[in-house]
Amino acid sequence: MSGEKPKAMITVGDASETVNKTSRRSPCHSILTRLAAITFCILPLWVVAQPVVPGFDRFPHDTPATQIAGGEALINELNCIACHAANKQQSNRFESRPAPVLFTTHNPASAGWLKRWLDDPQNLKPGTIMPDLLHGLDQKDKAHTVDALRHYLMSLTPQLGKQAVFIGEPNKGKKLYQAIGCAQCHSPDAKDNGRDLPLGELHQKYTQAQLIQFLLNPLHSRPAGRMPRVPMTQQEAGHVTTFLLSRGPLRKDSDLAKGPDALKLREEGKGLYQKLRCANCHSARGSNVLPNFSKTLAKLDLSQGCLSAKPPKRAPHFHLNANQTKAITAALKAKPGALTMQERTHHRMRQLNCTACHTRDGLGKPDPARDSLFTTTGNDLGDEGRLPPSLTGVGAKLTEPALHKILRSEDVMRPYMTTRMPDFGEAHAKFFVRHLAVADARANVKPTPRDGQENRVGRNQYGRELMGIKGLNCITCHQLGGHKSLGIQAMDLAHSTNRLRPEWFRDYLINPANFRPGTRMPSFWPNRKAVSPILGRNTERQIDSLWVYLNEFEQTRLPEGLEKKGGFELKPGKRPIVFRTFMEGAGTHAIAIGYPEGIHAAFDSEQVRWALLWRGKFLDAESTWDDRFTPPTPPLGESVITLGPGPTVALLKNLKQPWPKNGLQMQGYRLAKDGTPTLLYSHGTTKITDTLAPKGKGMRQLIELAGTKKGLWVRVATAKDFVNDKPGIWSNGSNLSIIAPTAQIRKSGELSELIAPIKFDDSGKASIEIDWHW
Amino acid sequence: MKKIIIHALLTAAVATATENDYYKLTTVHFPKELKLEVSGMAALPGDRMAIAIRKGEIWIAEKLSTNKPEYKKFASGLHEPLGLAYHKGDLYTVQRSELTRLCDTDEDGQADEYLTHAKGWGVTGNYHEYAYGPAIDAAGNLWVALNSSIGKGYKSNNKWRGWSLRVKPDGSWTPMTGGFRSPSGIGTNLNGDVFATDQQGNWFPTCPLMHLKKGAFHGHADSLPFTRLPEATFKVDGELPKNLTVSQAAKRIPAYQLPAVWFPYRKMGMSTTDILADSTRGKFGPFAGQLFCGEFTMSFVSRVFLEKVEGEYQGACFRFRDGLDCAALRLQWGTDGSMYIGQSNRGWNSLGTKSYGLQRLQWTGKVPFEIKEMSAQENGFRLTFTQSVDAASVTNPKNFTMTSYTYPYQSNYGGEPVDIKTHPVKVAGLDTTLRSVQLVIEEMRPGYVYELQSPGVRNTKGQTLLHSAAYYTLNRVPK
Repeated sequence: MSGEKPKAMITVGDASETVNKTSRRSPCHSILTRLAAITFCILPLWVVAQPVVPGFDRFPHDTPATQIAGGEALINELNCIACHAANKQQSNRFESRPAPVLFTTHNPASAGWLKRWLDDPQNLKPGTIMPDLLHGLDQKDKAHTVDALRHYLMSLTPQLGKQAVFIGEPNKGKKLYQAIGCAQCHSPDAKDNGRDLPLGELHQKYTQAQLIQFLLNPLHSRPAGRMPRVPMTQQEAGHVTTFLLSRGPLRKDSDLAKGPDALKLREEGKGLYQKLRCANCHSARGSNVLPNFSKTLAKLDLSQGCLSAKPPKRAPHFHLNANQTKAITAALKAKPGALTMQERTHHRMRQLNCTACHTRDGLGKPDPARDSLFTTTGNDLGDEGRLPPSLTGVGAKLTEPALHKILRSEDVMRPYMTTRMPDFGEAHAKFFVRHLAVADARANVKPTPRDGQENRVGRNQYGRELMGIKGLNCITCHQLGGHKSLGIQAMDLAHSTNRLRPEWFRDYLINPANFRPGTRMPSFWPNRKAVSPILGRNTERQIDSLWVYLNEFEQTRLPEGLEKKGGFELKPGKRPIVFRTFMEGAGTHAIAIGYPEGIHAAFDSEQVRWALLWRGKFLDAESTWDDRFTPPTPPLGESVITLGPGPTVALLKNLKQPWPKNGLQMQGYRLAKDGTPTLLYSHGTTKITDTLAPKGKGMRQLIELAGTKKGLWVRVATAKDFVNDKPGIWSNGSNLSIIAPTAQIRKSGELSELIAPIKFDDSGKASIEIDWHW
Repeated sequence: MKKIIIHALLTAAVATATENDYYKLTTVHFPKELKLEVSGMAALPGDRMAIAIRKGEIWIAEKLSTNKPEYKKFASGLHEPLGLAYHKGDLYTVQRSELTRLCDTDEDGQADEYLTHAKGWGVTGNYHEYAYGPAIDAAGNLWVALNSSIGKGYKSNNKWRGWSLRVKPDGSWTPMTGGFRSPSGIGTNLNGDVFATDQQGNWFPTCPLMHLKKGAFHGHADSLPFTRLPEATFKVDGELPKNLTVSQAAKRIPAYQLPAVWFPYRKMGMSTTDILADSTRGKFGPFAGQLFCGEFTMSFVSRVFLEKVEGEYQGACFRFRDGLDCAALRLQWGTDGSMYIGQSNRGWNSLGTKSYGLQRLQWTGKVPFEIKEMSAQENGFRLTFTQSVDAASVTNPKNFTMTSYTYPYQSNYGGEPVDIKTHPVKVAGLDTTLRSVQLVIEEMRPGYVYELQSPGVRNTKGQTLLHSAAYYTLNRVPK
């Protein structure tokens, strides 16, 4: 994090250096670039970049060893061996990276876009690894070459037919882009900045249908797997593409020649495609164009060609910066031995930018500035719910089929994690499965008793007991087979035996922190000693029993504690029940009162008012007593009357003054001998008691006040309109009827208020009686 | 040869000494139908204990020390009371939305007045918004500790989440300190100064014990929006700096007050809870005046020695008693000087075999061989033992390993120790009673935890320490 701003400066500074050396842009442009560097104000318009290669950029390359490793990453990513053949020793270290497949409907290139792209790739997509092949041509030659190439390319690129697309919402798209993982490789705001993998001006290139097609299956046209398939629905792709294409109008202008001119240009383009070595990288399936090799790697003069500060006309111009050139040179001069499986794994992880999300054995780590983009939908799961897991030792943890599934994005074990594990394609999946198993193999691991049933020391029934609330209580935190856990909703254990290697399962349980530093998973076998007395505290038998239970989970009963509970209904018996909780319609300070008569009320002690009246069943206490997430509980019965907001008693200077929002102080409640509660509150020095209890088929409310203040009013109720049926009897036009002899109606905006004046007698007492029927 | 055999026998006998030899743990009986998820305890006169349970009831256990107490319901319908205090003849408890005084005016053994003593802090309905307390300070004020809303940010109706409040006897209150995450324990030392513990998580690399000193910012960022309000007792300018250790943060953020004690993660627990000062004057053993803390996840009780350096509390923590049935959520003294440990692990798992209950911890009268005090000096630490030590074992510097480390101050969850250093130990100043020894080390780093391992130290009977590790939080170096 501390290096973030300086890093930005260096990037732009390096870029301007490139500009000066090559004199490709006007001095004015260069000054602007420098200005941008000084002010940190990097606008996409000014970004001039070297190729962005995360496997190089996001790693140190300041020591000879790290320089070589970085250089190797660059050599692979820039696909050097496509033109410069490697010798035997080098081919152990360097790999070819397949370039995008051009001659397919998945290629969105249009004639207009190709014109800009071939003219200056870095300009259109700052940070691209596509070299500028035409930098040595004068303007006229260049224009002609571009024209010929695009005529050829377009003639072989089938066009995607018209398709109906889902137009999404840009805001949703942006949230998805940032949350599901896109923004870990690309810039978080989707604006190219010369540091993160560039998007290019997508709206210039893709129609929405094309971009959706691409996002749903990027491996089709980009088999290298650098752009993996992030799993998403058609609809999500609609949102993301709407966001990505919201930057400007689509330009799909076509100005290709027709007739014989076109044929001539195509033919010329085909020649250029071979001569310029396009076919070396972009496999020319269907085009019959053969690669055109250059000097072998071993024979290269490292100060010349692509690596020289100003590449000669015929060499591709990658716009390498000085560090990149140094690193490539160092890697080409080095003669390291054969790579270990661990090194191979790490090389591949750098190439695929796995460390944008994962850590592994100190190989790299996610960018701290992007940390907040890792989010979770799981409450209370902490970083384990949010951050993609560490890959240290993952080959010893997961079985090969499980690993393969994960790498193909076929296994979502952490549904609460918003970042999604993408699919890198079959070749990479196979590579990692093979390499991780060897690289991570643990020495001297005692096998578990799983090989052959006769070796079993555990039993399903004990595993079930250990899982449940009378055992180790795993189900308090962990979900099981889709059943919610009792507390936090941590990873579902039902899949454990399909995924985990049994030795890892055992050793992890004994010391979780050893495998996952920082985990909040406690050990139930500290120092290998079982804390549960089950099975005579035999650690091995207990853990094996858990394994057996999980393995046979589908055919077995749920552990104790997960079986359906219920039985939380509060039923008033002889005495009323007073119950404080979070309540729908009565707020977070609700006092619910359930009467044996089956008529109930809820008081809102925050606003100091009656909030709800209802009949029938009283309340279900499950959300209050047993649900960690405490959702507000609704009245359980029926005929619910919802009363309006605002305090019961207020001081009005005149009858036009709106009803105040506060002014009462809650004092609590007092229980009578029979358990009936009387609410206590005050208005300054005026003491007020308020009792609402069943009377006949309805309820009677008695408000008593002690004080001397003039101008106090009780607001009995509010409604759109009150109907005054008989003197002192009011109906809200629906099913509620209120008897309040001293009350009167006043209009307050859209509402009618039924209010009653408070008149103290000589002894300083006043009371108001109200009957409620519904 | 004979001597060697005797020594070996002695060592073997010594090795079997356990915590249980000194502090006996028994499970207190309660009726099967009573779900005793203890969330608050207050000792009442006459071998009685008031016990709040999470589902919102208060029970009075009578004839407590018989281990077969009789339980009577005193109050019900409370909203998750997470603390209980007996003060001037009434019980006080903190519910989600208010501090309540419970009065039994007709003395029939049941509360008939549930009086709102203080309210007005924000409650949005977010489940994290637990409210803890009260703790009663030397002046008779009642203190409440409010859980932050965790990640829900500032809302108009969640005022003072993550702060401590001091409630005067008349019920008026003011915020005092801020920066809590989930301060599940609040209590006082024998001076009546108020302390709270918190939970490892965002902004808390591991669990702390914090002195609630007016104007202190304890570290969690969610409480900062309320510093804009006029009643706030501190300000933090701008955004919290990133990439700092807690030691650096204490220098950079003036209001940030380092905790008096860090409990290193796992070694000293994963989820610290209640605080109980030893006011038994020796009835509970040799630790009079020290603090005991509950541990939730790992189900144990720890011990804390505090001292003041430059006027601020800091000190050391030690393991004390393991092997509880369930999470230790609340600690309280019985009238006979035994410790009662109220337990509930609802919502979060703990070691042990039960989900809730009550256990009693009694001192057997035997003094365990322990590091009683670890006190900072200008150039090291002074250890005071509960028993005379074997001079040869204690003057051998190889018997002490000292490492120091600090923690990252970060919004990320938790944090591993950083900048770890091992310090060679020189032993000096064994006093004539053989009870106290001076450990000299070269570098005293303020803002670091000094972890001492001394498994080779023996008492004059040849016994090793019952707990040989001590963790001193060195915020200030005495001059």
